[in-house]
Amino acid sequence: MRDFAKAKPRFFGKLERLVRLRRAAEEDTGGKGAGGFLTIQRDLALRLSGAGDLRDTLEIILNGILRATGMDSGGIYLVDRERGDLEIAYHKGFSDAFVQEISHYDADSSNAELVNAGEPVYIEYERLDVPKSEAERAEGIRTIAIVPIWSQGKVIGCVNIASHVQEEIPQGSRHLIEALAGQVGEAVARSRLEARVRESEERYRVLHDYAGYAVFAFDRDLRLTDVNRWVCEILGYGENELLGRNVIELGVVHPDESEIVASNIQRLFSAKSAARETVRFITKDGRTVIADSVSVPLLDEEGEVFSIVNIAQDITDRKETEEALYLEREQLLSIFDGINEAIYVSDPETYEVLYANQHLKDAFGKELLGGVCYREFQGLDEPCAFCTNDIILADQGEPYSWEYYNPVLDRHFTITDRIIKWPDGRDVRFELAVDITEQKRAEEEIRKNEAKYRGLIEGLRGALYRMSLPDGAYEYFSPDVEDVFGYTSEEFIANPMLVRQVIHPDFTLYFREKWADLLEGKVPPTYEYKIIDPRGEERWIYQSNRGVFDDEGKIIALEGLCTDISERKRTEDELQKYRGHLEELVEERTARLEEVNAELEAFTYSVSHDLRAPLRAMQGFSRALQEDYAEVLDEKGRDYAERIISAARRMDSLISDLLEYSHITRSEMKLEAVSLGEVVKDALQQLEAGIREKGATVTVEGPLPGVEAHYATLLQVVANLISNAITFTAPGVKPEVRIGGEERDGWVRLCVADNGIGIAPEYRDRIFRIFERLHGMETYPGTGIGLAVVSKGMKRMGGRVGMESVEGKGSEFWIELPKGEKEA
Amino acid sequence: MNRTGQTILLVEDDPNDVILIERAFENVKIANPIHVVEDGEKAISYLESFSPRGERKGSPLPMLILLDLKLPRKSGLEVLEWLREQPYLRRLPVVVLTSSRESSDINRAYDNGANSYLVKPGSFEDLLTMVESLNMYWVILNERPEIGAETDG
Repeated sequence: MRDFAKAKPRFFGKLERLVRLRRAAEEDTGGKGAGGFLTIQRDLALRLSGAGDLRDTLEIILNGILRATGMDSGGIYLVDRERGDLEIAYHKGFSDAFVQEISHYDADSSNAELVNAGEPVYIEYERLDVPKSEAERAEGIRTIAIVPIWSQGKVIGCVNIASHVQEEIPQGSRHLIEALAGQVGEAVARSRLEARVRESEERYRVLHDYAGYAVFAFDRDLRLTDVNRWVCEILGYGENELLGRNVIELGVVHPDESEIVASNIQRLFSAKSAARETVRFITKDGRTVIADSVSVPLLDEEGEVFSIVNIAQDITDRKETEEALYLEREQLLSIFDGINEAIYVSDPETYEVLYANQHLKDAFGKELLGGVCYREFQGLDEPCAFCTNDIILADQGEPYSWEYYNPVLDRHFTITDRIIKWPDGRDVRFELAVDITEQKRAEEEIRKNEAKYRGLIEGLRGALYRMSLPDGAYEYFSPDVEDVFGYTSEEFIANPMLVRQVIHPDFTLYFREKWADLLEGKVPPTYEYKIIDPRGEERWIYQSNRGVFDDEGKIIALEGLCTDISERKRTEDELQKYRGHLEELVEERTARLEEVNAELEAFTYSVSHDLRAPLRAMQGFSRALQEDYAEVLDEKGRDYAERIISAARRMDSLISDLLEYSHITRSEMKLEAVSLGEVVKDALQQLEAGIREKGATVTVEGPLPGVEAHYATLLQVVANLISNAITFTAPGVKPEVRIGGEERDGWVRLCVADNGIGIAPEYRDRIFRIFERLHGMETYPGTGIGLAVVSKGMKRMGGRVGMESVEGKGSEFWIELPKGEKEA
Repeated sequence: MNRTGQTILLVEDDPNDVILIERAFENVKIANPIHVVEDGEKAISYLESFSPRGERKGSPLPMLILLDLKLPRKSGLEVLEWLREQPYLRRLPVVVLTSSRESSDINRAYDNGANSYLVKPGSFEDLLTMVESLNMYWVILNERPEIGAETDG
C-alpha cells in the first residue's frame, strides 16, 4: 500500500530530500574519515533542510565554509545560463566597493575562463608573489581560493573564499572548500529544479483548482486520495467527506454506472493508458450530474500505476441541451407523422431515405427507411428524371416546387424540395409532397362538365333573363328570347309593361299572387305559364328562378331561364288524353268482365240448382220403379231403370266436378300458412271410404312442413291426387300409395306415388287439361276434371305441379308450394 | 198463444222433389203430416194464417220448416228473413234443404236464421239416409221452443 503523501506530487517531499542529502553527506565523510568535517556537514545539512530559497542555501554553505576554514570573506558566483557571464549570487566579508568591482565578470573575461577551466585555484599573494589587481590591493586580500562548482558535468559557477589575514590556505581547508562547493552545485541544481517544479505545480494547481474541471485521484481500492474544490462544489460534499472514501460506496456514481466505473478504473490500473467516458454522478442533494471524464493512470518510478487521476467536466447542461434538441427533433418528426401529406428526407448523394413520415409509410405500406428513394417511391432502377438534387443543391436554402404524378400510387402531388441540415451535419433533401389528386380530378371533372354544359346551354333554346326588383324591369334578356317569346330583348327592355300584355289572361291572377310572394323574398323555383305570342298564338313557358339578394337579405333581382315548352305541353296533353281514353277503356272492359263474371256466377248457380233437380228425379223415380214396380218390369226393364240411375249419377258427379273447377277458378284465394301434414290428414279422412273399399294402403313419410296456400283449395288438390292414385290400378292389384314431403330452396314438394297403370309419355301433357280422359268409362270412371282442378288450384296458389311415370309401374305426381311459417 | 203440432211444412217448387221427399218420409215411416207449399209467397201467407188475425189462428203451428232456397216469387232466404221478424213465429226451427253447395248461399242462410243447412242428395238412397237422420234429430230428439211467448207476455 502506497502512503497517502505519495499521491501528492512527490516534489514536495522535503523530508525525503533531507534524508537523501544526509545519506550523501555520510558517504562523503565516511570516505575521508574526518569527524569534524562530518559535523560540519551534518550541521550544514540540518540547516539546509530549513532553508527556504537558494540564497538561504548559499548563505548557509558560505558561512559554513568560512567558519570551518577560518577564512574571513567569500562569494559564490553562478554562471548565467544564457550568456555564460559570472554573477555573484551571495557574498560576505568584502567591502562594498570591492563587491562592486567583483560582482560581475563577462563570459570572455580571464576570471570566467579560469573558472570554466574547472579546476580549483588557490592564490597565496604573499607567498607566491602574485600580482594583485588594483581592487584586490585596495581591499587588502592576502589569499583567495577559487573553486568551480560542478553540477551534472558542467561548471555552473564558483565559490571564492578569501582572507584579509591568512597568507596561505592549508590543505584541509582546500578539501573542505572543494567538498562544500560540490554541495553548492547540488543545491543550485535542486533549487533550479524546485523552481521549475514550483512553476509546473503552480500550473497544475491552477488547473486543479480553478479550471472548472473536477479532479479526482483514486488508489487501487477506489479510494479518493485527492479531490479539487470543483469536486466539492459540483458534488456538494466537503473535502473531508470525500477523501479516503471508496468512490463507489460513497454513492457519488450513478447506481446504473457504478459497476462499469469500478471495473473501468480497475482496468486502468493494469492497462496504464488513459480512457475517456461519460459518467453520471449523483450529488449530495440527489441531482444527477453528467460528466465527460478523462482518466489518466499515474506511474511510479518502477512504471507501476499507483493512482488514477480523473479529470471530469460537468456536461449536464450540454447533455440537457442535446436532450432538448433531440426532443425538439422528435417532436418535429412526430408533428410530421401527424401531417396527412407525404414528407421525407433523403441523401442527395446516395438517395438513401433517411426519414419518411407515417403518412408516406402508410401510403406505400412499407417501412421505406434506409431504402433508395427512386426504388421505394417509384419502382425505378435509377434516379428518376424528376430528381431535384441538382437544382436544390445549386441554390441551397431555396425551395423548389413542382407538380408530379406518381404512377405507383396513381396520385398527383405538389412537391416542395429543399436542402436542410441533417443532425450529422450533411446536407440532405427534404421533400414535402401535397396530394392534389382530388383537386386534379375535380378540375378535370369541371373541365369536362364545363364543356358539357357549354354545349347544353348553347344547344338550349332558352332565354336567360335578369329582372330588377321591386320595379320589375328587365335588365337583361339573352338573344334567344325571341325564339321563346316571339319578342326581342330590346322590346322587353324598352317596354316594361310588355310582359304583362304577353302573359295569357288565364295566368294574370297567378302572377299577381306570385308577385306578392316575390317581393317578400319568397322565390318560387319555377313558373309554368302561357303567353300569347305576336301572332296571337298560345305558347307554354317554363321559367326557372333564382333570387339575388343584397347584404341585408333584401331581394334585388330575379334571374333565370325561360324555355318554350309548348311542344312538351302538347305531348303531355296528348298523353293525358290518351291516358284518359285508356282508363275509360279499362273501365269499360272491367265492367264488361264483371258483368260476364256475374253472369257466369248466375249460370253456375243455376247449374247447381236446376241441372241437378231433374237428375234427382231421374234417379229417384228409376229407383221407385225398381222398388215399387219390380214385379211388373221384366229383366230388361229393370236394367233400363238401372242405366237411367247410373247415367244420372254420372251426370251428377260431372256437375259436382264442374262446379268445383269453376269454384277454384273464380273464388278469391287468400294465401296463408297452412300445415301440409294437416291437409294430408284431412284428405285421407275425406277419402277413407274409398280407400277402404279399394283395399288400398297409404303411407305418409318425410317432413310435411307449412306452406303458403289456401286451405280448402289445397285440400281439394291433395284429395284429388290421392283419389287418382287409388283409382288407376290394374285389375286385381291393391293400390299402394306413398305420400312424401321434401323441402328445397324455400319450396316444399309433396309427392303422391302409386303402383298404378302409369301414363304413357305422349299423354302426359294432356292429363292436366279439363275433360281429358285416357280411359273408357267402363274401366276407370271419372269426369276428367280432377287433375284439371289440381293444375288450376296450384296455379292459383302460385305453386307448381308435375308428374313422372313409368307405364305399367306407376305414377308419381308432385306439387310444389312456397314454404310457409306453420310447421306440420 | 200458438203451439206447435206435428205438421212439417215443406217449401218446395219442384214437384218431383216433393214426391221423392214424401216417398222417402213414407219409406222411413215418418207419421208426421207434411204440408207442401210451392213458392215463397205461399209459404209466408200460410204462416201468416196462424197470426191472431189469420184464419188458422189458434191452430197448432208446424213443428219444422223444410225450406228450399230457389223458389218462385220469393226466395227461401226472403222467407227466412221475414220469418225471423215475426214475433210469434221467429223461433220456428227451419232446415234449409236445397241443391246449392255455394258458400254464399250457406252463409246467407245461416245469417238469416236457418237452424240447419242440408244439400239434397243425388241419389234416392242418400235421400232416405238423410230423411232418417232428419227425423231422428229434428222430430224426435230436438226440444221444441215456445212459440209466440214473447207476444203473449
